[in-house]
Order: sequence, then C-alpha cells, then structure tokens
Amino acid sequence: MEVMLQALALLLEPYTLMVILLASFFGLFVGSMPGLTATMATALLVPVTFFMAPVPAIAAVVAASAMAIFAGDIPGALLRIPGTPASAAYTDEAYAMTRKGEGEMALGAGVTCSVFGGLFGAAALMFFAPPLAELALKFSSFEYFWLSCLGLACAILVAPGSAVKSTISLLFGLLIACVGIDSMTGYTRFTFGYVQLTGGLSLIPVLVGMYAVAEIIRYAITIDAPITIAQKKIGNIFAGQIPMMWKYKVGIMRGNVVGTLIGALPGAGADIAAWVSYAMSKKFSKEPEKFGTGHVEGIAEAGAANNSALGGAYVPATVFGIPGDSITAIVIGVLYMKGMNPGPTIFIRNPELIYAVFLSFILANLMMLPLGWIAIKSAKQVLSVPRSILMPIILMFCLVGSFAIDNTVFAVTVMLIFGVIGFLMEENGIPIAPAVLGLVLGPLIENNFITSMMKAEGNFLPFFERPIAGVLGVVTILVWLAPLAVWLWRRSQGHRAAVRA
Amino acid sequence: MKFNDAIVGLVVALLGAAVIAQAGYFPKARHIPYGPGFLPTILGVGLAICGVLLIVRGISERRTQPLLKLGEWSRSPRHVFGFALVLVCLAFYALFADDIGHFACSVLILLVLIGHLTGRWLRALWISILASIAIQFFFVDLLLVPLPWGVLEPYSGWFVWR
Amino acid sequence: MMRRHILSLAAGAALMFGLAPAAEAAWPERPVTIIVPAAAGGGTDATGRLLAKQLQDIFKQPFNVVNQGQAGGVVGHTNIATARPDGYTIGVIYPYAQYKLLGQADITRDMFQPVAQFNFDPAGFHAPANTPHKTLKEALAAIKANPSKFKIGCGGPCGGSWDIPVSGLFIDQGIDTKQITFIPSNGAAVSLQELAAGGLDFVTASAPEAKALIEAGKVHPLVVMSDDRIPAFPNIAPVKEQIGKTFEGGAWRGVAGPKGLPQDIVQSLEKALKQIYDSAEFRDAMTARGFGMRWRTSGEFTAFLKEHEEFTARIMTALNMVKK
Repeated sequence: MEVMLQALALLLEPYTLMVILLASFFGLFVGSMPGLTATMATALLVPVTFFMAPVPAIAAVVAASAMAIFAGDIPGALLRIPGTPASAAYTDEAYAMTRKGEGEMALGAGVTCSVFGGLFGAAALMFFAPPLAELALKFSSFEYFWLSCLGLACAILVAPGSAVKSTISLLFGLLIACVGIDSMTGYTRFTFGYVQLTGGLSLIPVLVGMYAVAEIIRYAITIDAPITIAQKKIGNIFAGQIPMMWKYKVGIMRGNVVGTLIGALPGAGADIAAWVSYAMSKKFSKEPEKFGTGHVEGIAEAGAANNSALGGAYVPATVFGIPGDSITAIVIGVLYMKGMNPGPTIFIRNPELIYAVFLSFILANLMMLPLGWIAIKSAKQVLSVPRSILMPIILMFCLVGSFAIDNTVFAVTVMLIFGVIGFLMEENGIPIAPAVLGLVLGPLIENNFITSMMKAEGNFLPFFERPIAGVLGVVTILVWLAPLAVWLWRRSQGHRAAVRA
Repeated sequence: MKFNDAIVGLVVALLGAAVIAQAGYFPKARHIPYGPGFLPTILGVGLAICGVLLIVRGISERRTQPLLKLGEWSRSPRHVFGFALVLVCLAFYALFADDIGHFACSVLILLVLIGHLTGRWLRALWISILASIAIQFFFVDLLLVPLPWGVLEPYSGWFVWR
Repeated sequence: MMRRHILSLAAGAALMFGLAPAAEAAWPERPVTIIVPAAAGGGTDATGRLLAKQLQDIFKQPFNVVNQGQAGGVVGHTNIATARPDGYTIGVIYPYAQYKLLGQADITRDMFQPVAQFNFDPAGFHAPANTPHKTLKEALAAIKANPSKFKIGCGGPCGGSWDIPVSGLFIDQGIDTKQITFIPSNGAAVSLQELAAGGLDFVTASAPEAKALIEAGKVHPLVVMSDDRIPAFPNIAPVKEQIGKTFEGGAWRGVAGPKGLPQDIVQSLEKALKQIYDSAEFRDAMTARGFGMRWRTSGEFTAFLKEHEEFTARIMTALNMVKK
C-alpha cells in the first residue's frame, strides 16, 4: 500500500501531470487524424521522451496511446475513415449510425466503452500481471497458428454481403501481406526488383489508401451535395450511455476480457482485439441481423476490447520483457533507456516506478471522459468547415502519416495505388474490411505456420499435440466447418422440402 | 464504375493464376517441403476459384448487369476532372517530393485541390499556405518527421528553430 | 490562368534557390541526417539518438535521426550507401553481410565510408530453465551426438548477428550444422518466448535481450561469445573459460557514410565520435541499456568490415544458406 502511495505521489507531480495532459491532447489529435496511428504516436514520442524522467516518459506514452485508440473512432463515425487500424472493424457500423442520426450514441459509446475497457485492462495489469504473463508464455507457434486462423474466421463472420466477394477481399489482403522479404526464409517475393518493396507493404499506407484516398475520390465525383454530418445535431454524447452499457453489459464485459487476453498475447494487439470482439458480438447477439445497419452493440464491445488490449499488452512487456503489441515493442526500449529494465525484478527493484506507470493508465482513462468530450465537440467544429476544404487537408495529413511510418516517399505511391484499388473494390461490392484484416493477420499466420512446420519436421500431428494447441485446433476447425455443415444441412432440408412439394 | 461480375471475376482469376505461376518458382525452406511459395499458392488457388464463381455469376446476370456501368459523374467533365486530379496530385507528390521538397508539393496540391473543389482560388491559396506551414511546424519541427526538404535543403538550417 | 501563374512562380522560386551557391564553409552548416536502419524504440535507435544528441552539442547543428527499419534493415543500409556523399547523410550500420548472401540486396563494404565503430555485443546461447544441458560443453556434446534432433531459434532472421557466430563455434567443434534445424523469427523476443513456451531447445540471442527471462527463471544462459565476462552478467562464463578457445562474435554498431565522403568530414566526425565515446554521459547511458563498448577507428573499422563479410560468407556457405 505504501508503494501505491509513493507511486501516486510520483504520478501527481505537476510536471508529470502536465506531460500527461499534453500527451493526451497529442494522442487525441494523432488518433483522430487518419494516417496517424497509436503506434506512430508512440514512435513519434520516443525522441521527445528520450531525455525525460522515467515516470513522465512512460506515462506520456500510456496517455497518448490510450487517447489515440479511442480517438480513432471519431473520424470513423463522422467521415467513414478509421483514424487508427483498431477502429477499422466497426467503422462502417459507426458511420451507418451517424447517417441514421445516432452519431452521438456511436461517439458516446466510443468514449464510455473505451474508458471502461481501458480501466479493466489497467486493473488486470495491476492485479493479475504475473499469472497472465505466465499464461502468455505458454503460447508457442502452434497455438499462435490456430489463434490466427480463428482470427481469419472473423473476417467472414463480420463482412456483409456476398460471401464470395468477402473471400476475395480477404485473400487479396493476405496476398499483399506476402509482398517483400519473407522473414522466415529471407526469400524476396513479388517485389519486381524494387528495393523499396523488400520491406513489404506497410499497413498504414494501404489502410489510408483504401479508406481515406478512396473516400476523397468518392467525394470528388459526388454530384449531389453529400450529407453534411455537421448539419445533423450531435447532442449530449453521454445521454443514454448508462442504459446502453447496462443493456449490453455481457458483451462489453466479454470485450474487456477478450481484449485484455489478446493484448497480453505477444504479437496481437488492439487491432485484432477489435476484430475478434466485433465478430463475437455479432455471433452471440440476440439481434445479429441489425449488425451493419448502424447498431451500437458491436461498437460497444469492440470499443471496450481495443482499449483493454492496450493494458493487456503491458503484461508480458513488464513481466518478461516480451512486447504484447507494436506499442509495447517501443515501450520496452523506453523502459530500458530509463533504467527500468523489464522483468520480474522491476516489481522488486523499483516497484513505485512501475506502479506509477500502472496508475497512469487509470488516470489517463479517467481523463478520457472530459477530454473525449472536448475532442468530439471540436471534431464537430472541424466538420463545419466545408468538405471541399477539409478533404484536401485530410489528404495531406494522410500523406504525411504514410510517409512517417517508414520515412520514405514511396509510401505515397502505395497509398495512391491502394486508393484506386479500394475505390474500385467498393464500387464493385467487394468490402474493404476483410482485406485489412488479411493484411494484419497474414504475417502472423504464415510465420507461425512455417515455424511450426520447421519444428514439426513437416508433420501435421504436432499441431495438435500440445494441450492448448490441441483445443484451439479443434475449435478452429469446428468454427470453419460449422457454416459449411449448416449450409449443407439447410440445402438438404430445402431439397427434401422441394421433393415433398 | 460498376463492372459486370464476370469482368471482376476474370481479373481476380487472372491475378490468382499469375500468383500461382510466380509462387511455383519460390524455393522450399530448409528440411521441410513448405516454403515461401506455400501460402501464395493457396491464396492463388482461392482467388482463381472465387474468380471463376464470379464469372459464372456475371454471365448468368448478363441481362440485368451491363459490362460496365459508370456513375452519373462520368458524364460531368468537372467531376471526371476532379477524379483525375486527386490521382494526379498523389502521383505528383510521389514523383517529385524528393526533388522539390514536401513544402512546395503540399502548397501546390492543396491549392489545386481546394481551388478545384471550391472554385475560389485566392482563398485556396492562403488556406494551402497556412495549412502547409502548420503541417511543417507540427511534423517537422515538433515531431521530427524527416519530410523531404527538396530545393530548400541547403537552407533547412534556417527553418529549424531548435 | 491562375494555376499556370502559380506554377511558374514556384518554378522561379526553385530556380532561385537552386542557383544560390552553397558556400564551402566548415561542415556542417545545416542539419545532418542520421539514418538508423531500425524502428524507433529499439536498441540501434537508442544508440543513434545518444550519438545524435552529443554530435549536435559538438557541431552546433541538429543531427536528425531517421528510422528506416523496413525489410530487416535492407532499406536503411541501402539508403545510407546510396546517399549523396556530402556529409549531410550518414548512418548507423550493423551486421549486413547476410543481405547479399541471401540475395536480398547487394550491399558490400565498397559502398560505405566507415567512420568509427562504437559498440560490440557478444552473442549468447541460451537453453530453457529445465534443460538437461547445464553447461556449454554438455550442450555441444549433445548437439554433436545427434544434430538433427535439435531445434535452435536464431533470435531473429537466420543468418544474423547471433546465429552466425554460434554456428561458427559449432563448425569449429566438428558439429554437422547442416543437420540442425535453425528456426528464424521476428526478433529475439519472439524466439525467447518460443524457448520459454517449450517450443525450442536453444536460442541464440544477446544476454541483455534474455535478461528479463533469465531473472524470471525461465531461461538458462549457457555462454557469451567473448573472451572476458561481460560486466552486466558476471555469472555467465564466456567461451574462453568454458572451452579454452578464443571465440568472439555478435552484433556491432558503427557510424558510416556513403562511399566518397570527403576525408576532412570523416576525420572531424571520427574525432567527435571518439570524444563522445570517451565521455561519461555516453558510457553511462550505454551501460544502463546493457550495450557493450568497443572502439574501432575509421581504418580499423574498414578492415573489420572485410573480416565481417568473409566470416559471414564462410559460415553461411557451410550452413548451406547462401542463395545461388
């Protein structure tokens, strides 16, 4: 308890509080700008925090990333351009709500569920970090392979419309993930001789292209004046949130748990957590037919999941020095730099520092309520600027964001090409979301498959030999085969009915 | 720009076939019969199958689905121009940003796009200059993103206030 | 009309700036870019930033770190090598010989002007905590007796800083390395996680990378590939103590520019780097982060790169990893 008080005192120093506040505004800005992500917010903070004291440095990263993940929902709901990949899963849903005039409900759910999820993740981190980290350490490539296959099933579950077209989109996403040096064998694939392509196609330029550039193209060719969201009143975003959260309490709780666990597993972070939770929400919903038409249930669950994943990712990072996601991969470097070497000793050697970091999670998430409100209000102000001015400026931010991910102008070429591809896909009824999930999951599936195969010396049996892997494998196969079985059964029933008639 | 499903299917199927053909040349990993060509081959087969399914669907719907249905915008020169302008601006940046620098590209692109969309060029000019300065300040000076200086390179020291 | 006017204006401005003569004043007269072929937050990035800050203090010009970590460093190394050799783009380089051998990019020492090496971290060799092979000798004997049975994680892509020196030791000990299954990964953390999860028999990685898991009692370190014990890990016996032979290998980092960098710039940079290397500030920061210190002058570093390329080529050929 004394340690907690010491930690609290460290956190409540005026300098630290000021840093957290500034970092929060920074995170909100970065998250709500398409093309700038939570990971990039962290990367951009590295030089700034490089010469700060440990607690403000890490607290700045914590606050900025938490705010950014939430703020990614804002342009998703208002412009149908996800601010960060973690919002991509439910961007269409949120935008559909806004079009129906339920924008404040979509955005309010974004804030309140993000806060709830973030607090849950922080609590899990504070009280269950060691056992959760032990669990995460039981996962080898076999378990990861099955998990990523389960993740793929989400794409098909989530996608509306034609199953064939969703599958094409997913396969295309997986294919673009293959471009560049295969990290398992070092072999260069589909680069056509360009050194720039050896690094592969980064998620951000592709995402920005498919969503933002395609949206801007659509705007440039829209003849009827588009619905201006700003004309629709965005009232009190907190109105009706408590009944909503109570109604979907099971789903939101499930989102919290799933998000924390996925965050704690090394290699998977907030992006994947949001997808999985959104898909689970639809699967277990009493009204799955409402999904895709502007229904808050999935947004609440996935919004909670992506923020709880942030806290979860710090579990293996602090306990074993193994990053839980792309943000903590950077944070570990910062921890080392500050002499807070991750590992079990961090809780013994300087417990007040690490607990100050954990408390900063709670503080940042509490601050998200007022700051989120401010962000949404100012986003509304920004949207009162005519689209004809706003859209080109958004394009410029996307351009800079794509550049900053790898510091090369080549990213702009990628953005352009995928803008055209994304535009054509949408026009022809091929959904974009599965492609994004494919791009996120592609390397995870392939690397873990090849690693597992190397370890298994080419046999499939070891994929089921370890207890967790065996269970996951069976579940995965069932999930993939169930729709087929249902389809065959229905078909035979229909056939029988036809025969009877 | 809605194509008949048969055309979309054909493109997808050809992509799949090309991927399968390429992946055949990839080597295997050490000690196992799987390698960098394994996943692409599966993806290629999947794309080819989906492509064929779309072709079949497209042909069966050929009466109701024209080969290519362009949106209303295709008959408005102004909107066709707008469509092209977005692409040309991005291509311009991709090709010339390293040489003439981010700042000049940013002003030009914003000016052209805002000018075209609003039709008020003078206002577009000052908005594009102000926005470009803001972006330059925030990203280059504050966040140290190394956007290309281009022609301003020899003078980059003057614009950095650190 | 308006548009053409603006364009010509911009062209005119460009011409004016372009024609302005760049006076041959003392280098550097404007900000210098340091390309770091690694992502922000990693070890290479940290060393790059430490250097940048102190170079900035010495030369009174900003030294900006640019992270280009894509393709395991191929892109960053290529961009250092192909930059204009005017002294305004330099970079931090690290083991690169495998790129050419794996057919990823033709990067060789002829493309660089080495300035100085400032860091060396010996490779380590680790087993899970419950391993039956408690010492290097036992592990080597077991691998020698039955090489095809063992799965060794490379702590990154195979052919990197850690597995190549350890493979060199294996070859020296007469182990048939071609039969060993080397498992690549996306970085040391992934391999170490796999080791702790029971999926691997051994992992090659540096001791600092494994530190958290060693302290947690999940990983048993067998050796560090150096002659002397490293200060941060006094309990891990080096190769020399365990088998009585000199074997040194691992990751190194140094500053280099593109070939053709003017000699006066090389000299003033080398002098500044030596001053930084000797400063308490730099030493403390490097030690805190677990980085080893090693100084090589421009000349020594140049010779060392040749050694690095030849050694890597020899080992990778023996491992049958070279792409024909």
